[in-house]
Amino acid sequence: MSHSNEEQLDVKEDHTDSERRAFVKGSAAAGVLGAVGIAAALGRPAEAAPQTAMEDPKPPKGLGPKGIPDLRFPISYESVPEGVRVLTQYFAGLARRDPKAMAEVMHFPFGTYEGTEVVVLETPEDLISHAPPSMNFNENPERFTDHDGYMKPGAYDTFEGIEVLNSDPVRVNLALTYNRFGPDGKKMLRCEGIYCATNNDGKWGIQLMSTIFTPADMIGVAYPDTIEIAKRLRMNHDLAFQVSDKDGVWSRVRQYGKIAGIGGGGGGTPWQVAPDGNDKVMGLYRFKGIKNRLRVSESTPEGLAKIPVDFADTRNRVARAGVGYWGFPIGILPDTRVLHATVDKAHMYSGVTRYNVTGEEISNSVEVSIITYRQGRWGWAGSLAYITNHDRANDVRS
Amino acid sequence: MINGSEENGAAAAGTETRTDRRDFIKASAGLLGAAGIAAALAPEAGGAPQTDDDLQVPKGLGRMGLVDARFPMTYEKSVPAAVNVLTQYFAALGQRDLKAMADMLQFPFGSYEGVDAVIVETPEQLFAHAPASMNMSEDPERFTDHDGYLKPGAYDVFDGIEIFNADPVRVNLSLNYNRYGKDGKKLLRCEGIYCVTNNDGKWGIQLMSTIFTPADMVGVPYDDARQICMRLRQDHCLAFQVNDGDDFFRTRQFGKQASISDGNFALLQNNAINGKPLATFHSKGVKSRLVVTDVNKDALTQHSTNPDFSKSAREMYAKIGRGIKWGYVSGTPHPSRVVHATVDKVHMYAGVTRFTPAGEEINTTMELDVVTYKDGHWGIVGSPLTFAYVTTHDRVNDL
Repeated sequence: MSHSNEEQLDVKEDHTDSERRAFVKGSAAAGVLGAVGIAAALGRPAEAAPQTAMEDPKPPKGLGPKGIPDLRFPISYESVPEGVRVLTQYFAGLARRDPKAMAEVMHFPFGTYEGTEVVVLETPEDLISHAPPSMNFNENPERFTDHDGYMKPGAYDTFEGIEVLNSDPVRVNLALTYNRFGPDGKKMLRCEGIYCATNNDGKWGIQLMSTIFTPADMIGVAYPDTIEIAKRLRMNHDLAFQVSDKDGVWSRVRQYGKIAGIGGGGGGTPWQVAPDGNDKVMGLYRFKGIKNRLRVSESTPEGLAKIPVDFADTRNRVARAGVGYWGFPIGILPDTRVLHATVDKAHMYSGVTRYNVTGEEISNSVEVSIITYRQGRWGWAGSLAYITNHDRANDVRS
Repeated sequence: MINGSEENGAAAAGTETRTDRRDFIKASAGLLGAAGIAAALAPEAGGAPQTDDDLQVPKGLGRMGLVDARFPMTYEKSVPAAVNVLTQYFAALGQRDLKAMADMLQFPFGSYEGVDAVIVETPEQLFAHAPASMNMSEDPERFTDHDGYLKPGAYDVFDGIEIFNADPVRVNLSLNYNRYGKDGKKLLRCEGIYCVTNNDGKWGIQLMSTIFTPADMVGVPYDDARQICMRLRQDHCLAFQVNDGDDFFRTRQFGKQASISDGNFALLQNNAINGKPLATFHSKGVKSRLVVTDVNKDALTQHSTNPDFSKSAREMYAKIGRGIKWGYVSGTPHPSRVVHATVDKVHMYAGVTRFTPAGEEINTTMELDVVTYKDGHWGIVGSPLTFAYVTTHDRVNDL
């Protein structure tokens, strides 16, 4: 599948499905990483993250011959309790300053946006020996060192809520907010994060996250420029297809440097492959044998300029859904919103709706994206799972 | 003694009933049909996951302190359990399966249908007379026994869940979904709030409120409704700052209303002062957490008989010592916001932060409220607040 088509958000992969989960698997099997209270509460045996039935999802009843399993189908949101479970466990592990408990509900390699930089942890040992600042328990942190962090002795964290944004059978996009207080009970900072929990080979865990830490005094400050720029970047990406502007697709939109994203279970994205039949699209939701969904690449001006863009192919693929000829994609949703914003980063729930020539919806794709500001340039730095919330190819069958 | 306030929790000028009618569910366990999710998560067949009731005072709880959101016991089990229940409820709704929906409810069950509280006493009542938001009639007629929002071939698309806060037995959440016609065009949006509780070991939805909006009206802001509901919550607390109980009464709504039990701060704080910080977190033997009241219209304009309205709050904090004195309360702490709004109803996440006279936080309590507009009057429903009243932070644990 070409990397060139509209809203192809998977970044180039330089982490192939690695086999770096041996520690977690082995530790879990040995019962080393601790018991899981939630598992017991839910009536499961005490073990690491529960294993999903080892059978890849089948086409749900009602799926159109060219349709995508969108969020009308229970298989697309039955994953939600699993995503919430691992994120809750992750936070409980963080609150207890227990990196082993945190590692138990993460996938490795694991990606995190620390400020505007992508950090990849290859193994659970990396988390314990070289934890990134957002997960570092050093109580005397120093910025830009190997013991960078946000802790002080006696600090504690309070749960401030989780939001489930959207999901598919193997991926859940979530947000988690917590406040950190000093030993005197006075608020020090707030952490607003986005997380993608995925099912890799039957195990649910967090694969990619991004956090924004804000000192208590700065909570509530609005960054309207950040918010508008984030929305504009997403709109411009799709606008490029309306005006056949090759540089507008990625070169002026994508951030430079190391970027990360979440892949599916196969090549392409749902809207690209669904016209080829149910087997093809369901292949994107495989989990058996999928060891890793993290995609990491290096983005450069030269590399972005070389990405081939085939506008005619995009129009043709969209039309093949059978809901009318490609009319126009709009890179903002009625419910687009910037979830969290700061001076140099935004977390945004947004996406694209594809309309036919007469303005009727064909389908949408919705992601949680990370927008960063580096060296005077705003750019779309990566995304969590790219999910089809609604696809009319399941309703209009031509 | 403060009459009918959050500081002592009595239902102002209303009659309160709590009933325990879960016998049908108990007897029917395994019969009501399990959703696929249940199988995937492997809970006990036929119902929501069971939990134990062996609560322990968490390490680090201060003397006279409240169990707040720093303690994993407040979210570690309850949040996943509640999300599991709400997801299964929605899956059943999407499959138009009332029995599977009933499996995820606590009975008696409460639902705000528009601005009216509807109480469903038993699963049989749900099957026979489902409230409009849960009614499966495909030819609904407004204000009849087959009121609803469906049409043939319509389907529902999941549009997210949010968990606001939690304690060991109660979780405040929201769920949104969009409804489409069989041609794939959007008909309406449903924005709802839900309180999932653990009653006698079973997790289920005890109370909910929904707002249905036709597709063409999605996104209309209703700025006046947003401002008014925040003002009501501020006025509720302002009554203590200005030592005038009349303010408090004006913030309430009249008529039949439903809320979640233990929704008053004096109860929680006095439990902690008396060495029983877990008293409201037990599940064993608790058959219902639904409180139903009927508030007379006259109650809204009554005058406080207590000339020193905030006296009991001052006295309560004086018992804690350690330099803590009641100073003032703010009714819209920082996370407060309107979750959903329409012409005559608002779902609001709000609460109160209590401060010392010098402006240092003592503690914060947050709840989800339903605010309605009836007969030209906006008011907060509940006794006096609506959903679970959760202590998110208590500095008594630090001092």
